[in-house]
Formats: sequence, structure tokens, C-alpha cells
Amino acid sequence: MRLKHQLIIISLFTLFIPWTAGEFMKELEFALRQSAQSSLLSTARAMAQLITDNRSDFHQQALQDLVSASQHYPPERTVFQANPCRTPMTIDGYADEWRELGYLEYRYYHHLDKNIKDRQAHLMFCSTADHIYTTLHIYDDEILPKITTEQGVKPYDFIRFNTVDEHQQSLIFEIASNAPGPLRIQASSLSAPENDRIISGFWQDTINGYRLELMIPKPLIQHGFGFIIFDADNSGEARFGSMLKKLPSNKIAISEPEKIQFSNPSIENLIEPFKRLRTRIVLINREGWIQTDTNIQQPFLIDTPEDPLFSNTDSVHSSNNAHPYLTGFYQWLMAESDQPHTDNPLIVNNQHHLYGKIIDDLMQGATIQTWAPSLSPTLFQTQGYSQRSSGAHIIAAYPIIFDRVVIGGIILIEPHKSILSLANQATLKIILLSLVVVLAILSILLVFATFLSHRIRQLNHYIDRALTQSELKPDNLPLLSNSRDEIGDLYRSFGKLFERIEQYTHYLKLLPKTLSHELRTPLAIVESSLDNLAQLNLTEVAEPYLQRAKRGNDRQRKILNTLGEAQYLEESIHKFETEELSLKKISQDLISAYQELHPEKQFELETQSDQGFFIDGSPDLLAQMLEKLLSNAVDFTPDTGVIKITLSAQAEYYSLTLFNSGSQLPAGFSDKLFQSMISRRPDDSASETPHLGLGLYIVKLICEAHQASYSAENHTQQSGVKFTFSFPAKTESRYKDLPSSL
Amino acid sequence: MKRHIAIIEDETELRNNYREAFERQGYQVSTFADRTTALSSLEQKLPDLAIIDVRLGTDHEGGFEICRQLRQWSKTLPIIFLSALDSDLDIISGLRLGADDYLTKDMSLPHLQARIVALFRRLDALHESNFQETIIERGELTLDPNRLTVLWKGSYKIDSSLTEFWILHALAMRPGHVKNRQQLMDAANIVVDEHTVTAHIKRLRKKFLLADPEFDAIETLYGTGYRWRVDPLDS
Repeated sequence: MRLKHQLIIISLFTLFIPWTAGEFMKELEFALRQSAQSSLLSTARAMAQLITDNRSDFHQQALQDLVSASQHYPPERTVFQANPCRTPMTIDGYADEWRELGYLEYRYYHHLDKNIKDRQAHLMFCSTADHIYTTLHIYDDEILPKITTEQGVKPYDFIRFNTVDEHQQSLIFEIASNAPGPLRIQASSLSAPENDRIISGFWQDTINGYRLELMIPKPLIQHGFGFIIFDADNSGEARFGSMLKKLPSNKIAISEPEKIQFSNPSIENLIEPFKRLRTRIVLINREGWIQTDTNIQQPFLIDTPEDPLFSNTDSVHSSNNAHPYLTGFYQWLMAESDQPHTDNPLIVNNQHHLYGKIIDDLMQGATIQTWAPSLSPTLFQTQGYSQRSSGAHIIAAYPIIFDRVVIGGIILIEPHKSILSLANQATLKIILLSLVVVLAILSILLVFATFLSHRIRQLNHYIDRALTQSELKPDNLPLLSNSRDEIGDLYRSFGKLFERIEQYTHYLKLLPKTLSHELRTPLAIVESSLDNLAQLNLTEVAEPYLQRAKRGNDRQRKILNTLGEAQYLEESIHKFETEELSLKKISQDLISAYQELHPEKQFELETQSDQGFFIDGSPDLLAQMLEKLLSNAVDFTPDTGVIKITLSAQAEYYSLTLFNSGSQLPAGFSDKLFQSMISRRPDDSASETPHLGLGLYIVKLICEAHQASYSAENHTQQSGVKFTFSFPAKTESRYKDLPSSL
Repeated sequence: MKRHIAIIEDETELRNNYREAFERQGYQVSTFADRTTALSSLEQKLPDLAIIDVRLGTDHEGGFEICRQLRQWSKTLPIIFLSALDSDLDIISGLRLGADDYLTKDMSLPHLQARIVALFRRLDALHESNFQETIIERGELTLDPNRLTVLWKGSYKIDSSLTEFWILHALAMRPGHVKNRQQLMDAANIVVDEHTVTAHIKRLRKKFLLADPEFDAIETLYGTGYRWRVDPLDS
């Protein structure tokens, strides 16, 4: 991985900064909420004590009402509660006035299967001084009206209303209709019609059933009440309603009428002193019935999309105008670790009855403190409905104990302004700002990383150049030379190193020349002494020794000459004057010269186009280079072997390949082949001419001087070695009109 | 009267070897080890021929200085450089100073003696000025082995060193025939690297080109050697 990429990855870790900030804020939030909860609980405790300690008559009466409201009923009996109607009621079959919440709502399900949607009923109550108003919404996919024909009465949908009047007399009303419209129903058990024993109402069909709105005189219903819905259908008759109970034998029995209870406005007096507080105060009786609520208009359940009755109720959505992606990021960042208690929720049966483990605990005398995200109904309702909130409510509950008996509870609900709230623009701003800062740091880091890696790359190039160039020129790299940091130091150290290497190389390069010069004088002394000796008419015995000495001396001289040759060549390469030369002419000359010298071997020249292959260079040097190559090839080619030069023209260069059959290069040798003092010849010290491995090194020097590339490889098809050279072509040639046989 | 040869050479043993060899041949030899003694002595009496080592001990250019001084005193005095330095640059500098030849130290004694004879003969020929039929004419080229003079197209006098003359002589004797470097070296009595032949040929060509820009009679055959181009008019 490149340095730059490494630095990018490392700099991504700065993203932990906003994450840490988010964690910190969550912790802060948690602590704040905790303290708000406990202070709310203290308030609840104080209120509960005030409620029981107030000894005024007025207050004591209200307390007595609460005690009586907390009267214990057998658990199998449902207790209906009717709160006062807050608006004038019109019996018209429409639910408009019911739409204002605060009326009791009950749901009934099919006695066999709760999930049969078209066998459900909703029941709502409210009370005035004289009447009980009720609306019943019955789900029914097929409404069968009561039609009397000659054959009798066909099965039809009806509701049986049971009431117990003030004389403990059971009355039965059968509510059926042949068409939507107003109803007046007499108790079927009464022989004579009595005006104050008549229920008036309205039958209205709805899209998924029908709705009954009834006005019932209060005395008629005061002591008991119940209903059974008879749903006639093609598939048979179904019954459900309040008076049906399931027996263990899976049969249905008709139970006693239910108790209806009216809420007592006097209880409201108990919390009257606290009403001005911002806190919502809910007083419940022992059974969980809400006795009074300072904010009844604000339902626990704000949005119930599945509620068919009020399907038009405006949904309250969390609204923020921040960018959705930002919000998403924010929510990811602020994901709650501290979840509200969903395992033992405060369940709202309807707007007026709370039950569940929390209420049970409360009635055992426990205190409750918890919180719920706003809009999230999980605490209050079991229906699956979860929407992310933008705030929270904290909840505290304290039991009201009177005469050592829990007679009810006080529940305080207070909105808790979450600092995590997106609505809190300041928080968002801080988060955004920190993001911007992080991005800025990130980009600064990136720029710095790029700069750093650029410098390191520069240093690397400098070293590369120093390694590949035969002569090290001082590079002008101000980014490296002017800096005082470690990279600058490294650059300077490398500079010193290269300087030393260069000095050493220079010394090494000069050594052969100096050596050959220095040795030449003693050689000349030996030579001239031997010559002098030869002129002195030596005896025949001495003559062979003289000859041997001369031969030895000759050999030494040749070694010295070869040694100085590379140096001599390097000098002449740097001095040579370029002239136009024909690769073809030089190759031709050399091929014919070598063919003459080595008639047993086969020399070939192949030109792939009819031209002179003109390049700029030194003919002498190129001839020397080809001579080296050819004499090298001759040495490695067996008798009758082939040595072949091929010239071909490419777009901007001419390539010259020299192939010789024979042995192949050892593996890995082709890279080293052109280096000085590398020889692949067998060690043959008896050879007359010394081999110092300079031949191909000289070839390399000449190639470099001509900007030619060079390579050596084993021929893939035939056994042998192939040298390839590419020379930059001279495009304009003043000899181009000359015949190619030049 | 014995011919007088001055040898200026810092190596005692080499100096003595040369002196003894030349004395055996009947020359009078005086030897010097450094520039000052050589010049102060030679100023009194010029020798007939000077053999000078380029590098005299620590005096790296001493030989060149002596050559320059001697050439001032005499235009005709034959001067031979004998040096361990064999680069093109040294050879060219030496010849430019007016030396008649530049030889390297590994030249064998008989060869050196032959050269000295040749130089004396050229000197004699100049004095005697007797034209003989030894003069060789090849097309536009006229060579006089006695005076060691080269004439191109009848009018251009090419000023050649002894080595150059013999190389040219070897080529021109057999026009159209290729002479390889070894043959040319043998002809010129030099025993140095082959590449000095290239240097000599280059100098020769330059000298001809200076006189006649159209000159292209010396042809290179890469890998083989050189030949004197057959003049179509001549053949």
C-alpha cells in the first residue's frame, strides 16, 4: 500500500472525534434525564402526601370519592366508566363529536378469534346529568337488515342491550334496523311503553360495518349494562359483546350485566393545587382507571393509524427541516444505548384505563420512574408502532396511601427537552461544526501527506537516478535540500553516500589506466633490457630463455592494453563526434570480414527493408561494438553454426539483432551480462589472449552513448543467444537516394 | 662524425638501456633526467635527434616543454616522443607541438632504432635534394620515401608524422587492397594498441581534408581495415 493510502486510512480515525462527542452527549443526556426523573419522583411523592394530608372537608370528600372509586370489583367483571360529555351531543350516527378524545372507548373482539377484523366492536361512553351517550361501531362485512316477509323473519344483524334499572329490573332492548336512520327502541320485556324507558338512537352504515349512536336515560343503565352483538352472516351467526364470557368448556355463557361507573368530578379537586404546573398530572384509582387528568386533551396515544374511528386524525410526525442525510448521520451517531423499558410497559387499554406491570407495582406500593421517547407509544400501548422521537417524556408514579391502603396513584408526565434532539438546532450546529473541523483536519492531513509522500517520492527518484546514471549530477531539489527535518537529513546523507561512492568509483575507473601507465615503464625497462641482451650475441643456451622472457613480457603488455581499453573507450565515447552512419554498411563490412576469417561458420545479414538504416553516431565505436559482439559470438558458436544479424525498422528506431547458435545463457545471467568483469567463459588461464569480461561492458557503454537499448536473451525456438539493440533512427538522411548496396 | 642523440628520460634504467643500445649502433648519446639540465645543456649544443619522455618525474608536461623549446631553436631537428601515455589526446598534443613521431614505451628497441635511421635518412634527403625514382605516384598522390614528404594533387603538401607517412605509404602502395590494422602497424613500426591506428588514420584524413575538402581516398572497411580507393582516372 502506498504511503498516501496509508495516511488516508489513518486520518479516517479522526472521525472518532464526533463519535466521542456523541457518546459524551449521550452520557450527559442520560445523567440529566436521571436527575430529572428523580426530581419528578420527589414531586410525585410530595403531591401524594399533600393529597392524603389535606384535612379540609372539601378535600376529604374528594378523597372519599377516590376511595369509593377504588372499590374492588371481581376481576371477571368489566367496569365501564363514563366521563362527562364535554360537548353537546347530537344523535346522528356520525362520530364527529366523539372525535374529540376523552370519551371512553372499549373494544370487543369476536369471542373465538381476536383477529377477525370484521367481527369487532368499539364502544364509547360519555355522560350528562340525565343521559348516557354511547356509540357502538361494529365491524361487519355484510349488514343484514331486519326484513319481515310472509315466510317470517330472515336472519338479521342486531344488538341485544341489557340494562338493569333503578328497581333492579332487567330490561332487554333489541336494536335492529331495516334501513339506516333514527331509532326508538322499547324494552322488549316491558308490556307497556314508558317514555322514560325508551332508548333513542341512530343507525348509520359505514364502509366497514355500521355505527350506532344511542342516548340512554341514566336511570335505565345505572346499575348494570351489557350487550351482545348478533352478527348474522351467510356462514352462520356470530355473537360477541360485553356479556359473553368464555367458559372452560369453550362454550359461551351469558354473564351478569356489567357495572358502569361514572367518574366523579370532585376527585379533580385533589389535584387542583398543582394544576398550574407544567407537568401533566394523572390520578388513577386502584384499578388503573384515570380519575382525573390535567391534560386530557393530550392523549397518551397521539397517533393511532390503525384506529378506524378516527382515521382522519392528524398524524403528528417528528418534523425537522434538517437535511435527511444529516439527520440519518445524526441519528446513527446518537443511537440510544439507554432504551426505555419496553419489557414492562405502561399499557393503555384506552384513554382512561392503564394497566400492566407498572400499575400493578404501583398498587403494591412501589414507586416508578421511567421515561419514554415522545411519540413513541411503546410505553402506553401494545400495538406495534415505533417511530423515532425527537424528544422524550419522563414519567414518575407514586402510590396514594390512605389509611395504610393504596387507594390510587399519581402519575406525573413531563416533557424532557432532549439535548440530543434535532430540534435543538444548537446541538446540530455543534455537530456540524465539528464535522467541518474534522473534514478540515482531514484535508490538511491529506495535503500534508501528499506533500510528504511527494518529497519521499522525490528522494526515491533521486536515489533511483543516482543508481542508474553512470555519472551522478547534483540534483536541485529545494524541497529536500532546504528542509531541516529527517527527510532532508536522509537526502543529505544519501548525497554524501553517493559522493563517496562516486569518488570510489572514480578511483576504480582510474585504477586500470593508472596501473597500465605505471606498469608500462617497468615493462619498457624489461623490454629494452631484453632487446639489449639480444643484441649482445648470446650463447645458444641463453637464447631460449631470452625468447621466453620476451613472450612473457608480450603477454603482460597485452593484459595491460586490455585493461586500459575500457577506460580509453569511455574517454573516447565521451569525446566522439557524431556523424551519419549506416548500420547496414557497418554490418555488411563486418559480416564479410568475419566470414573470411571464419569460413567454417555461417554468417548472415538480413535486412527487413531496403534502406541504409542511418543513425547518428560514431562509426568507429559502432564497428567496435559489432566486432566485440561478433567475436563473442564466434567464440560461442560451434563450427558450422549460424551467426546472423537482422536489421529491421520500427516507427522511430532501428533494431539490430544478433543471433548465434550454440549454448544458452545460464538462468539469471542475462541481467548481469553487460556488467564489467562478468564473463561466461570457462576459466581458461592457458588462453593466449586474456579475457577480462570487458567485451559486453564496452558494448553497453557504446549503446548508452548512442541512446540505444540493449538486451540479451536465450532464443526461444533455436538453441542460441539473441542480442537485441534498438537505435534511435535518423529520419532525414542525405544518403537516402543512394543505392542500398553502399 | 658520429650523430648525436639526446635522450631525456627520468627512468635511469630505461635511459641506460637506450643509451647503450644506441651507442652500440655507433651514435653519440647524451642523457638527461629532467627539463632544466636537459635544456641548459642542449642550449649549448643542439643534438641531431631528440628522444623525449613526456612525463619527467613530477614534471608532468616537462617533455612537451622541452619539445617546444627545441622546436624554437631548430625547425628541422627530428624529435621523437616516447611515452607511457598513449591516449589520443597525448598523441595529438605531442604531434601538434611539432614532434616528428609519438611512440609508446613498449615499442621494441630494434623498431626504435629503425625509426631513428628513417628520420636521419629524411634529414639527409632534405639536404641532398636528389630526386630518385623511388618516388611513388598513385593518382593524385605523390609520396617521397626518402624525404618522407606527401604531395596531394601536385600542389598540396601534407605535413605528416613518420608513423602517418608509413601508414599512408602502406595503403597507397597497393590501391584497392585492404590493409588491416596489424599490417599498418607493422608497416609503420609501431607496437601499440590497434586503436592508435584509428587515431592516426583520423589525423591523416583531417590533414588531407584541410587541404582538399573533397578528399575521400582512404576508405574504412569495418572489421577489416582500410584501403586506398582506386581512382577511376588512374585505373
